[in-house]
Amino acid sequence: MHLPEGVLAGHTEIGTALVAVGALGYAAQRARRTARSIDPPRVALAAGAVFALQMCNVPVGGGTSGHLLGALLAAVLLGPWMGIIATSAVVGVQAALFADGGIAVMGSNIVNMVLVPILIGYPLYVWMRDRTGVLTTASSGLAAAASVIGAVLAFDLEYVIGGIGPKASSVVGPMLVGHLPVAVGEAVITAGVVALVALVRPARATSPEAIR
Amino acid sequence: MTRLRVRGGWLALIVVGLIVTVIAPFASSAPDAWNRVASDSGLADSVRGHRFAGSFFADYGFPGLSGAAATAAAGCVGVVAVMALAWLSAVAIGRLPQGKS
Repeated sequence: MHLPEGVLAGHTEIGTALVAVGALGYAAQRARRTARSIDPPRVALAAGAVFALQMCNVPVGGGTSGHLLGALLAAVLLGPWMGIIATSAVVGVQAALFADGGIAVMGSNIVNMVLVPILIGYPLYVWMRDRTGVLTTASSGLAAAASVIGAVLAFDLEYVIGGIGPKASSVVGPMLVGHLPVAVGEAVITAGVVALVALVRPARATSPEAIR
Repeated sequence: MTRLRVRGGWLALIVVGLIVTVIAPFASSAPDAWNRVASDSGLADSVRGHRFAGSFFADYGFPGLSGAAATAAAGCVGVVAVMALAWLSAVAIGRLPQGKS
C-alpha cells in the first residue's frame, strides 16, 4: 500500500504532507502528556517489529500478496500517540533507505498507513474492549481489519481529489475489494501478536489510554 | 522486575531478528494488493521511479549480496535504522515540556 511517486498530484501530496507534519507534532505532544512513562526501548522494539512484519508478504490468492500494516498493532502496544510516532518511523525508513514508498508522497503514506488506521482503529479497539466485553485479542483483530479498510478509503479519497492516471471509478472500487483479504490477514496477525504479548507481559498488551 | 523486563525485551528483539533473517527472505514476491490493482487498472503507468531507486538498499537489496542473503541483510539494516529512529524520537518526546495533563 506504499504509494510510489507519480500517482497523486502535487497539491494532494503537499496537502497530505502538511496534515502529516501537523499530526506528528500533535501526537508527540499528546504522547508526552498521556504516557505514564516513556520507554524508548519499548517504542523501538514495537517499531522494529512492525518493520520486520511488513517485510513478510504472504500470498492471498490470485497472484497477489499482502503484508501487515501494523499501525493498529503499534497503537495497542504503545498507546495511540506513541503508536503514530513509531509507525511513522517505519514509513520514513522504508522510503529513505529502501525506495519503498515515494519521498514527495510520504505525507500521503503517513496519512494512509499511520494516521487514519490508528485514529479509526484505536477508538474502535477501546470501545469493543471496554464496552462490549469482547476479548482484548479479538477487539484488536477486528479493529485491525477496520484500520486496513480505513487506509484504503483514505487512498481512495486522495485519488478522487488528486489522482493522476485512469479515472477514479476504475481504481477506487477495485482497491477496496482487493484489500479485503489483507484486512482479514491484518486481523489474524494483530490478534496473534497481541495474544503472544499478553502471554509474556500481560500489562504490555492492554494500554488503557483512550483517545480523548 | 527489571531483570524480567530486560529479558522480555531481548526475547522480543530475537524474535524480530528471526523474522527478518528467516521468514522475510522467503516472503511472497507477488505484487501486493495495491500494486495488483494499480497494474490491472493502468494506474501503474503513472508511477515514476523512486528517486533513491539506485541506492544501496533499494528494494530491500544489499550491495554485493543477492537473493535471500540480500533480503536478510537489508532487513537487519532496516530493523536497526527503524529502532534507532523510533528510540531517538521517544527520547526527544520525553524531553518535551510536559504541560498540563
